[in-house]
Amino acid sequence: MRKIKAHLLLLALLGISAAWVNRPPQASMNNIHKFSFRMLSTNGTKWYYVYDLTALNYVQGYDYDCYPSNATCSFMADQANTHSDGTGTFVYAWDIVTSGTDNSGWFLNYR
Amino acid sequence: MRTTLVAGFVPALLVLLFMYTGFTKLFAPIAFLDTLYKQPFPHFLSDRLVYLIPSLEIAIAICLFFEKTRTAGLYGACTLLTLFTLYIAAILLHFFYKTPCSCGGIFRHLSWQQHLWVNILLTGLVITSLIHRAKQPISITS
Repeated sequence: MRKIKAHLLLLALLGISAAWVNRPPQASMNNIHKFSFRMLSTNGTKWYYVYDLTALNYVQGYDYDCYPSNATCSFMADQANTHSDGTGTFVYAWDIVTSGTDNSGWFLNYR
Repeated sequence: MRTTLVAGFVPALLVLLFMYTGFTKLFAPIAFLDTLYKQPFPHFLSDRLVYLIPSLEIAIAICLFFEKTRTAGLYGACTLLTLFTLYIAAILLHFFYKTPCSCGGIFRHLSWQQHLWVNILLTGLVITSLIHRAKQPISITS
């Protein structure tokens, strides 16, 4: 049997224990952002990364409300986050304030 | 004193570091994936890295347990730390179209600049340890 130094094994166990104690809070599929495409806000000042609400089982009238023509939706979590998706698709958009503007097109039509 | 520090302390520090960082990611893979999605590379790459990075970290830590595989573990640690250091340097030099948040991992409260110095220090320690091992005479046991 190969020799393992006991102190290294203890440190490994300490590392695993510390990882368990300090593990980040679990994110659910409702707060992870898997973007489908991007779009510009109605006032043209911000880019939003967008994903399909129906894929996450959001319910209109409960999780969000849309104004006539269903182009502008507001969300109970953040009423100020209203926007137009321009296509009639119900979407939730997350504004990544700290990440700046994405002009690469990487997120376009991504699924 | 210096020999003990290099030969004993560096692998021990790396075992603790890589076990902690590897298992932190494995215990909360969705949170780690969320962090990866905020980095300036395509999502298909993030989907693969989410398990690849912690697996590599844990594999390196296990390699450091055994005398026979310790050199390989140190090379692995050196490669991983160098790649991460270069990534941070690229961020700080504005190589990417956006500056991602430094919001994941063990040093989540550090800025990218502080993160870079910590990584340079760790990489330096690993390189010193590798040089020290290369200089050691090979022992033959019958």
